[in-house]
Amino acid sequence: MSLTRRGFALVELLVATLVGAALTMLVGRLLLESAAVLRHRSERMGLEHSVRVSVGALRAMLEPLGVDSGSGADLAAGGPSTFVARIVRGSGALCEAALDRVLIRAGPAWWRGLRIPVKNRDSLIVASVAGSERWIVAPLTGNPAAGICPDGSAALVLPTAIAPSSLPSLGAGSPLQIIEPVELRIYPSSGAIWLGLRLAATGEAIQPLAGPFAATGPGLGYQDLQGNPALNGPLVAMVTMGLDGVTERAGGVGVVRLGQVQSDSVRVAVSLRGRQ
Amino acid sequence: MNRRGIALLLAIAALLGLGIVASTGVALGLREIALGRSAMADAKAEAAAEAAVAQGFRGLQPGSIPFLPGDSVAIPVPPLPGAVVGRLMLHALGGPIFALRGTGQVMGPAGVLATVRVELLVRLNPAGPDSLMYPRAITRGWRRIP
Repeated sequence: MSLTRRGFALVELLVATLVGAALTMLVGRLLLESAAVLRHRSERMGLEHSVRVSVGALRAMLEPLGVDSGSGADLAAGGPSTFVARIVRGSGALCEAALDRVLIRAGPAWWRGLRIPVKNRDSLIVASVAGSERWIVAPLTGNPAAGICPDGSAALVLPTAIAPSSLPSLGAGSPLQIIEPVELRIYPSSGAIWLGLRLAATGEAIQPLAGPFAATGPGLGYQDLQGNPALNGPLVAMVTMGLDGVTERAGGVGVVRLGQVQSDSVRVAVSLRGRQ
Repeated sequence: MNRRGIALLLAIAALLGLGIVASTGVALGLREIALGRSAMADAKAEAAAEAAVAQGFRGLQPGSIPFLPGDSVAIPVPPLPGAVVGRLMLHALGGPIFALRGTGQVMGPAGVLATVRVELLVRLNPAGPDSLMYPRAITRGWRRIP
């Protein structure tokens, strides 16, 4: 009786081992395939995120830009892989102007800034309130301080140096922007192409913003109001950008690998609203 | 006894692994759908805000123009198709300088899906023969309000 039970246990063990091995292989294969699909989706989302960030950054940088006879063009220089532009870091309206300072109205309804203006890094660009429209660029010569407008409302005092000839055209209501030169560059790194930004005034190194991209993209292009190529900053009315995005890797490590790098592309044209 | 315990543990581990993979896949899919919907709602809201600002260029009644800096007045905006709302405010900055602030909102079943606000600085020209004041856009006056 006991011998029969031992024999049955041996057969049972062999069968259980075989069934267990088959099930383990089946489950393992399912897990590997699922992991590969997840890796694919994750890489695909990263790729689409890079494309979205690129388009969003280009729009945010370029749309508010303009050009006028007083301050020149906001898009200072351009090439197929880089441009430098005055980027708006804050904006508001003056309540008073003097040769050595301007007062802007404080409060959320008046002043909107990404950060506090910084001396020697930011500049001011102010529009005339009297006469024809004209913008002037002035340096920010000191750190901002709290102040009071002539009508008693709260103000932010920005030390600057206004040319005496420009002062009569400035006054309450003059739009003001805090601007900073920023370089956008499409650059190669680690065997791929990346989109990066650099603060031109501080001389810092390029910081990656989005990527990776393939080297096949057409890069940056510039058009004037008639749609002809324009390489001169003041003539540029539209900037085009073409990037061919790729996934960061073929996918996974070891046995969990994707067969190939995924790709997507973006072609965008951004009009400078101040150049219409 | 030991074999039964190991098999149970193996089965639970395999089910747990499959469950994690499946739930991660579902979460990724839902996130992708939400991102797509959000991008579409954002584009609709931006278009509504721009349409509201454009409404200001159809002419403004001189009696409705705010005078003191900081004063605001709502400009009527025709209803937009779909669950999209556009609003426009004229805000006095001082002198002839005004800000047209347009707001676009996309409404969903559970509330607001997206809100976009844009501002365009303008100079108001004197009233014309039709007794309306027409704004003139200022260079560099457009911005998207965060």
